[in-house]
Amino acid sequence: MTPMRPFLLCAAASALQLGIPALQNAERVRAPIMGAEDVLLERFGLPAEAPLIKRRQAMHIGLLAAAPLLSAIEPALAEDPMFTLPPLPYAYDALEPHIDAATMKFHHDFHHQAYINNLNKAMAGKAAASLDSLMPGAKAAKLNNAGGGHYNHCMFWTIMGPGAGGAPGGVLADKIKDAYGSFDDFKTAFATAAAGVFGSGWAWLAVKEDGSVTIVTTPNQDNPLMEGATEAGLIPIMGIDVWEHAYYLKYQNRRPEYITAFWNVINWSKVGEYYSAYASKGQPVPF
Amino acid sequence: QASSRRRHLLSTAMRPAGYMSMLRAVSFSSSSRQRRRLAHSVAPLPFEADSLQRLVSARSFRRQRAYQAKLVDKLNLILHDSEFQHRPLDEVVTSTASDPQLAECFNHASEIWNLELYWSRLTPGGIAPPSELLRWIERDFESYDRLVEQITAHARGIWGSGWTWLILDRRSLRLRVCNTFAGASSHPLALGLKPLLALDMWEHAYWYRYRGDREAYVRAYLDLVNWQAVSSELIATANKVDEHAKLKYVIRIAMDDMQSLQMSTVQHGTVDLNELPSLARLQLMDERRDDLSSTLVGAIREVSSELEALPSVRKTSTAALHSIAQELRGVKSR
Repeated sequence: MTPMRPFLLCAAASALQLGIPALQNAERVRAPIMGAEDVLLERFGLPAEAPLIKRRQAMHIGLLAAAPLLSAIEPALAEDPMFTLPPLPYAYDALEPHIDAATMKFHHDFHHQAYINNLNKAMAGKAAASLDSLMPGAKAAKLNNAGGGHYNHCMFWTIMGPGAGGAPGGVLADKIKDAYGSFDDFKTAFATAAAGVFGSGWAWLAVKEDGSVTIVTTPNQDNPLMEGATEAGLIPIMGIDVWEHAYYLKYQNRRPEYITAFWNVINWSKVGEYYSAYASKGQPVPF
Repeated sequence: QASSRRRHLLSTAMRPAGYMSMLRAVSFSSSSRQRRRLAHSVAPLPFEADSLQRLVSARSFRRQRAYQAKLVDKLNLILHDSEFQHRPLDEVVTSTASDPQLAECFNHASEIWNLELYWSRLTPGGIAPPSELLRWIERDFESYDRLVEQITAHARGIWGSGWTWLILDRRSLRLRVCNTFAGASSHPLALGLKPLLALDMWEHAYWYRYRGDREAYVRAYLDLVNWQAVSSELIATANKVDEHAKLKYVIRIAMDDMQSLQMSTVQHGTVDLNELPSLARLQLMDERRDDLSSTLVGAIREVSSELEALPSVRKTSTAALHSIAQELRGVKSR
């Protein structure tokens, strides 16, 4: 079935610029990320005039309408937040054409920021704690939504990268072969698991206590570190977000296509690093 | 290459968005001819793909219906050679809801059932709620706007994927708003409730047009609802409940009416506040009917305990009910 391409409007190519004046008017104190698009562009070394995305992948009308909505529905930030939004290690359009810039922008600036805000609200007045230390007791403390969301997305941004993909190397490759026979079989198993998550959730490559790897899925924003989420003793080193907001703009309901595209953006050297530096020693990846 | 791609783009963009193209979108897969022989299929809707622009564009509508067709194919696959193969869809939903082994079957069946209800309640332009439905809404939600607020509040509270429902509780004949969550294997049908409206709060329903603004999506959906159909469903269901529930309902309505009558007559200075209303004095019941009175006493006790559980009820209502129950017990013992 031929995928339907969006009807291109030349005006939409400059949607980002049209959106910028509206966002600049937002209070900077309340939304340093959302309101300061020009600052972000500067930081990533992108000129403000040129469109972030090519005309061919121009945004839909919905984004034009939604740009003022971003500032209207932004959640309130705490005074001295315990957790802050880490910047993306690459530009919003760095993962094109596999994951589109609009999705990355919304996913990072809106969703991840919302999880952080909710987590800060939940942790207000409590002693400062590192994010990975909050994970085991997250379900009991009702932090699995906001806290899990923050941890999961911190890992998600780091395990992806531009010009990545390929296959894992070193010890991790051996462990994958031991568990699944070959890298292709692993990819099939992972894709089946990720496509099989009903509703919102994540699919993970996790490391067991004996150093072998396994694939698990968790609902909503749970992750294998949380007690009660999956079998005990698992440490996640790679995950794919299969909440619909992660792929709906480009892939609509075609989740298997998104998973296929995901293979092109996985930074296996980073995942291998997580394996050797943390998971093989029984420690969760710290964020 | 580029020119052929442009030509293709033009042809897809210029394709007429009508009924036939919607049907074509639904039956795109190779198993479409088989689908007619199988248990479940996607029923065509009586409006065109592009007529619900405020809620969803024609393209989104076709995509979502295609997604539903995929779910149907998967469900037919799951149900093939199983005990539920020839059962109607709502029976599949209620039977598989409680069983964690049949979670996949329940997930697909419930999604299809919910989506059918979701789309079938829509009509281009919407139809305003008739006065009978407004009376029901006013009894349980004070006003239509408060109902919309309740639905919006529930919709905002959904974390992950789920559905927001307007249901009729058959036992108390009350309208209520509730949420169900994907992966929780719960469904109003399985709980014996009658769903009147289903709002899809999975992100795919609103992400394209409304992004994070769930409230605007909910309002857009409710504006396009055919409330006339909701009203007829409601009345038909209410008429089918058992006599006991109907009696309780009549008493509850009568008490509310008496309360408001009392308030309005007190304002006009024509009624003594100390004199509690009585069914016999209002000639709603014949003193000699013993058989009726025991059912009535039981029903009144239930209604009064229900009312007492509500925080907003005024104490005079329950006092009135107790006085009537007293009177009826007096009648019965005679």
